[in-house]
Amino acid sequence: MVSFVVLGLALGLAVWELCDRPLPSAAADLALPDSANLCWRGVNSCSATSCHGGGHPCARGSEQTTWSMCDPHARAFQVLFQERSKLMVKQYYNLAETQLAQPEKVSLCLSCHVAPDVVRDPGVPPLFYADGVSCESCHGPANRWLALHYQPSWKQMSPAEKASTGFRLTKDLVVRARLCADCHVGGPEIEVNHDLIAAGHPRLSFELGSFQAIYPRHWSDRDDRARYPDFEARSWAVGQVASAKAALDLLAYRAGNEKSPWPEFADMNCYACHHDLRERPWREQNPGRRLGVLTLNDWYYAEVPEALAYLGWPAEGLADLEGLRTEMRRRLPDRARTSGLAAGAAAQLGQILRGSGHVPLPGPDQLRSLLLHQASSLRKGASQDWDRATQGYLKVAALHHALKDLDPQFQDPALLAELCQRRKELEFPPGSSSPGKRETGTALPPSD
Amino acid sequence: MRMLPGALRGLSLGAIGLLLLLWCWSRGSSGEQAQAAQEKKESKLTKFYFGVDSCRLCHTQPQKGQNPQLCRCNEVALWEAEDKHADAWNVLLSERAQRMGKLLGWEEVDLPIEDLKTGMKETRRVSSVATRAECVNCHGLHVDNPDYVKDSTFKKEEGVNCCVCHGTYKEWVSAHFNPVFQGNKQWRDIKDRAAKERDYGMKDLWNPVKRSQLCLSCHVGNTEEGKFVTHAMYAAGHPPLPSVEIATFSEEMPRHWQYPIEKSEAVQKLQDFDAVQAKFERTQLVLLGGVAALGESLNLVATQAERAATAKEEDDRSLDFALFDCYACHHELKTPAWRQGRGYKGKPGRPQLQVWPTSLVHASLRSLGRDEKQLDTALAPLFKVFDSRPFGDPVRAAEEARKAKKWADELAGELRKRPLDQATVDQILQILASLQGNEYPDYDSARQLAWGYLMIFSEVRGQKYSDIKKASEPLDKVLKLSLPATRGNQLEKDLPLALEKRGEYDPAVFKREFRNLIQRLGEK
Repeated sequence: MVSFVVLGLALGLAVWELCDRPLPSAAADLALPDSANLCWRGVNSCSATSCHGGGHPCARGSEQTTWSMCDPHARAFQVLFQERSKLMVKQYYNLAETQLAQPEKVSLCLSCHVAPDVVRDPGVPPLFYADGVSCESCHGPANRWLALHYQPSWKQMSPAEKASTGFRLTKDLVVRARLCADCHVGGPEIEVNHDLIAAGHPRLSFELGSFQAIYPRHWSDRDDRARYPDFEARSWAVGQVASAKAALDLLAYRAGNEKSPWPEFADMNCYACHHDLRERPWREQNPGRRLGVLTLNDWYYAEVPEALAYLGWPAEGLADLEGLRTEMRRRLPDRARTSGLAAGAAAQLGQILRGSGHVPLPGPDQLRSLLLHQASSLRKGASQDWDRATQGYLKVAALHHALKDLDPQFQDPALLAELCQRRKELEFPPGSSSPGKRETGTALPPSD
Repeated sequence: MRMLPGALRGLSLGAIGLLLLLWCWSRGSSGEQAQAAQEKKESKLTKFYFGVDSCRLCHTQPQKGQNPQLCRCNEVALWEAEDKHADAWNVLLSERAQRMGKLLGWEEVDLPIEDLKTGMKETRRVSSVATRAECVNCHGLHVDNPDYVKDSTFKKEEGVNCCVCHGTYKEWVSAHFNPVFQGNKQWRDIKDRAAKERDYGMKDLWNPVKRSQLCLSCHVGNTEEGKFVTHAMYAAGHPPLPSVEIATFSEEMPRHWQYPIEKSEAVQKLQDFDAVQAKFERTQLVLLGGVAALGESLNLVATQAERAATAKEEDDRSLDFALFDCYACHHELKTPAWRQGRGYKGKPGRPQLQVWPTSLVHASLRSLGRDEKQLDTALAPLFKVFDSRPFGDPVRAAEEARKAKKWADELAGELRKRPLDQATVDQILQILASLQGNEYPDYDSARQLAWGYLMIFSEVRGQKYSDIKKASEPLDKVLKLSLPATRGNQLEKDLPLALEKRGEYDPAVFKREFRNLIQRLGEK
């Protein structure tokens, strides 16, 4: 009898924990509290067999093994030695010959291909560049937490106490999203602008949910889902807001910095320009749309209102974002106005991120109706430009995965087929980095 | 006044009032007359638009049995049967043009329209594309003063008609067919064609530079004449303006005039025929047309930049995208990419001006014994304007474009003075064949090179241009060299293929096919 009572109490407690417990908060900020006292220790400080170099990829205790064997981040420095990278640097800096190019020594390259710490305090010893994007690139300079983090007292420390040692709370989705966005979206002095893209660098188009889905994780997937039962959807929503904030901060920096090229085409919709002149009926529809103008790159902003709604925030407060869209449609957007609007919108999103830890977990029914509602907008968005259409697809895919996690019995074959079809439609033709023929049509749109 | 009786007083006041009124009218009238006289004095000419009917009587069929005539006298027949310029205004009523008007947010108008074939007239509600100066300045003649068409045979439906090119002034029309005017002097006794233009308003189309500039005023643009296809117009559906090789375009019109070498001996005698220069007239036109294209492009940039520099509206204070190389932006992103393989002169990813106007200039420079790098040097400051800041600072752009235009004009002057000979034209053919200065030609530059080569080859090797075209069919598949000439609106059939070729273009393929063509023609 007593055991049944205890079992019942335990179950009840577990349910209460799952449904009502406030989710981990984004208390820690990326800004290191006292960077003067921090420094790197290097991958070798993590890679002892008894620590993180266990030798069994994807197993607990083998995080460094997993990273070095499977993670593309481990090769981030090596790629700088490729011919393609040399050509990029040659073209970017207008060098006389490719052999003069040394990307492995260029801080603009190293700031992402090793860590933003290369150009920020506390810096990174060049000795550690060869490790690429390694442990401390994400987990923070280790000198003050290396000896603490395996002690029993570590688990008793609060997030703020841990952060004060320079440790980055990567288990927290907001911290993780902002960390990833630092390189994958960019920031002041850590950016891939249009000059660099024209020189040959791939375009940056980050989306946390899908990037995590294909990433060979060196941590437990189950831990993530235990912490966030709606992990896929929450990653998507937090990722959207964090990426948008990073993009806005970068835009504010570019607009406000006289040395940055302006207008900065990387902040504009790539395919508004990068399409050949074969006629595309959807481009000529919608009379009243301003013709032939550059528009703000909506990759990071198209789904922000939906993401905010998921996190329980109204989108009405983002007036600055609409103002920014209008400003960026000018032939020459005003630097000061653009910087102000972007900074204002970024600040708003930053506040939202800080408070996003207390968002309640949706139940399966709530998530199901949200999914079906978003799926219908997927069909409507067929004629949207590629960035909006793709973000729309990724949103529905994330919600679908989240619902499957919360309700393993959920099945919707029609929706799944539609998602697969949409994915095929969105894929670029082989050898292409733009939608290309996907968008062309030979018929003239009706003149109504 | 008070002393006068009432009725008389009233009459007097009325008379004074009438006198005052007459005085004011005469002041105004004489003011207008003074202004008109001042204008006439400044221009000396009476602006007037006339229609094809004014030319039809003499220029439809050669008159037999008379003294040798200096014109072919079948120009109207040829133009009406074949020349697309006759359809230039009609296309403004097409579905594409009407849709453009809607997308641009332009108003609709009730417009009286005449069917020139049947003579039927009707009023239709159409987009103001058909009436606005922005369109009609190129697609016909925009009537901004009713005096220009008063009691005239002018019809807007005739599009780019005779007077558009030959001169919109009254004086030359009556003078040029009057066998005796100014006493015993005949029109043909005025040898100085520049004087004919200055004093009578007949454009000097014998001058290859002036003729080229006339064509280019529409086919490239001219701000002062209100001829500029903006980027918004392109976005609304205006076909991209292609590169223009003057000699080729004239041939395909087809031209309704003859080169001196084609005229009869009797006519050649009357026109001070220079057998040596006539032998290479088309070659000279290719070179001069090429330099004129550069000059007019630079003039367009300069004038547009001057406007932008002083514009009141913030949005107008930077250069219109249409001035830049379309394909610098409008290309699909592919890997590998020939543009990245080519590399960049300056910073990557900065739009520069259109390249095709430079493509025939290298051959001109080398044929004068000058270094072709002088072109790069002349354009370097303007290049830097657009390299240092995307779309450039309008003030600096205007300054540098003006200087570069001056350089181009001086080059044209030098070319005109230099007589061509066999050795020089052989050299020109070799320079074009080697693609010197054009190592990675874009689509439009490639077309200029191909057209220029074919035209010069046909002249200097004595082969018919129509035969040469057959040999160039493989290259035509890459570049679509054949122009949609002749009447009948083929645009909607032709345009998708033209745009496809632009999208698929690869300089490596062009260079291979160009090389093959040269070998097929038996050249090295």
